[in-house]
Amino acid sequence: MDEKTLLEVKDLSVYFNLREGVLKAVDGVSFNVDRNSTVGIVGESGSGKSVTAQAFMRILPETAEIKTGEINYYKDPDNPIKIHALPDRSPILSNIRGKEISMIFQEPMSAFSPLHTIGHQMIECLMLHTPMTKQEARERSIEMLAKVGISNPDKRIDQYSFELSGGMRQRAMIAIALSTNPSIVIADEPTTSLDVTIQAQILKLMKDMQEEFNMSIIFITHNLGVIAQMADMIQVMYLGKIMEAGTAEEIFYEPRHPYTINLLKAIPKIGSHVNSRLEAIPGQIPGPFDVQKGCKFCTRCPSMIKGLCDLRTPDIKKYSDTHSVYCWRCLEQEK
Amino acid sequence: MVNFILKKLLSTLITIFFVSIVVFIIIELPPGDFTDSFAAGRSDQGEVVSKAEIENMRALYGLDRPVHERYFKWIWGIVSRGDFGISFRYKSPVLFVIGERISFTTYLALLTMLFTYLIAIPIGIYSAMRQYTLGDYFFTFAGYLGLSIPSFLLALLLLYFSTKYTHTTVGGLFSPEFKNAAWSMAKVVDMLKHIWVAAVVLAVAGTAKVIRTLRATLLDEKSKLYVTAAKARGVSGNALIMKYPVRAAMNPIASTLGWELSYVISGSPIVAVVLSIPDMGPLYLTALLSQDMYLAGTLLIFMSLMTIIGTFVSDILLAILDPRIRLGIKI
Ligand SMILES: Nc1ncnc2c1ncn2[C@@H]1O[C@H](COP(=O)(O)OP(=O)(O)OP(=O)(O)O)[C@@H](O)[C@H]1O
Ligand code: SF4
Ligand SMILES: [Mg+2]
Repeated sequence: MDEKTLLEVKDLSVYFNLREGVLKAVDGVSFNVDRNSTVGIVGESGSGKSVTAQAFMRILPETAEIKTGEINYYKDPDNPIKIHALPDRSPILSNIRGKEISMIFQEPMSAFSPLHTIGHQMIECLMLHTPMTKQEARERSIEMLAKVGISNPDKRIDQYSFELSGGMRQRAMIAIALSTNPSIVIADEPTTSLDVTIQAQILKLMKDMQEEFNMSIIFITHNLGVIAQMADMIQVMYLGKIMEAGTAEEIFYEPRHPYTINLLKAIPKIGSHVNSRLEAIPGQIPGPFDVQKGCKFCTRCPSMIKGLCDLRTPDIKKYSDTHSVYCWRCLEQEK
Repeated sequence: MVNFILKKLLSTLITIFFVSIVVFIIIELPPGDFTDSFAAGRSDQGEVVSKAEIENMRALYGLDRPVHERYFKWIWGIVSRGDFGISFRYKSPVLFVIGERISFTTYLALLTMLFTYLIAIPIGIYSAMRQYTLGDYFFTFAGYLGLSIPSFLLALLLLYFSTKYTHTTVGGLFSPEFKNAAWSMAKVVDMLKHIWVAAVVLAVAGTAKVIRTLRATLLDEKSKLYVTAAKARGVSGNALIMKYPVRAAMNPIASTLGWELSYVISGSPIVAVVLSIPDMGPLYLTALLSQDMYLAGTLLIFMSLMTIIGTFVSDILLAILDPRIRLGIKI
């Protein structure tokens, strides 16, 4: 195990046991999160990004279970915590949640309780994880609100989430997440519900905070433009599997996997005709309960190799220490 | 908050005013008045009541005055002196006739509400937290049973079994030895011993309804994002459940408190008849039949008042519980 590694995800599978059948939301995902780095997880809707993140914090819905794999947390490298193996009611787990790993949700409106003030929820979190008194927790909360750029924090703290604007709400969300000084912050589409200007402000805020607080960020989005600004390492996910992984440079300048290449094509280019449609990837996405043999992308892939891609799961192809791809075509080109 | 309460208070007072008018119209609605039904009653017994006698009586009770004059006189009496007029039939002030019964009905209603929530809230929480367990199925089944059994039948059953096995009569309001005794602690206890059957009977259907509402709301709230978010902050176990979903599920309970009360009140006469408790139900019926208008009107006003006050309390509770209501924000 590398010393830089903070979180290790090994062969993680999360299945939903639903009435309609078993839904493999995450299907054998592996990657590492290094200290003080940002990992981006990108992919279309339904690719399992959120479920992966929920597994890290063990806040999966009741119908979901971690079927295989490991989630190891190396805060103390000599004494790793096996998050996947902790019992549901383990106090270690409650201590990880909100203290070691925090989460910023996509919709700050519904992620705050409408019946409790922002301050109430911040103070609750601080008092759970630190020896602070109520008064100290309150002061710390006000300080955090000020830090994330909320004006009149001593007034805002006693307000409810619905009294704040969308941008302010997301700032408050970030303030809560960072208040306990966690080692990892998971941001699940933190800017999707915001307009573009606010989005840029929030992204900058997160970068600044990362520098100040020395934390790792797991940044989830389906927006490649956003991830380009944020991530050091990028994991491209599709239907529960990692398709391609690499540094931001590798993914943006030398994409290898047909899925990544097509995703990149789908980004609207600056200067392109205003009305030009997003070039979505053509083809049929298999339903969530379909057992797609071989490469999951083969129903939509322009370079699909019949008799291979649709039968056998592709092996890994490494282009560098950091850059790996799961694709038969890439393996073939090697020969 | 003070503003909110004042506003609600004002609208409540206005409602009461309109209700009093409607009540008066209702009791004026049947053709004729008390003197007619009085005369009819007499002539049924073979007596003849002369026209002059009736006119005299009319004048005495003020029934010859125009409607609006009588209305305002009546209302003024109530507001200024707490005088609800006189009962023609009993020839004494209305309050004197019904005072005791009104307080019984009030006790009964409050006791019933207390039972309802005391039983329903813990069961509702249990059912939602242990969804699809044996306990949950048991309470769901018991709830349906409670909803579908008519209250008079349940009253009869309870009456039968308690007489058979405990050899006490739960019917009536007091045991024979207390019937004419002066008020004392022992007498109050004796009354509670009798009244609880009625309260339980009245509470059963309401309890089943509250359990179902609570269970449904809790299941709904439990899977909301803000609960997951709280969990992700490290809140766990009972603290998580009680603080977030249970707290949110109290809102619909508070907001239906007013209806619940009116439901109890409208259900009480029939149970009272079965258990021979001196509730206002039977009195109300005879008052209407004999056109004893101030008595009927007062009873009607009282019943509406209970509902209106229940709704007022509901509104205030809801505002305390839900900041969105307090701050006038649309949900
Ligand atoms: N609570 C749930 N019950 C059943 N299925 C679920 C649940 N949550 C997620 N899924 C399924 O798991 C799969 C992965 O979902 P997930 O939310 O992780 O996707 P995502 O990549 O985050 O997509 P999005 O960009 O839309 O957020 C999807 O097929 C989804 O339908
Ligand atoms: S494995 Fe085959 S189907 Fe899958 S992405 Fe590569 S070429 Fe396309
Ligand atoms: Mg998602």
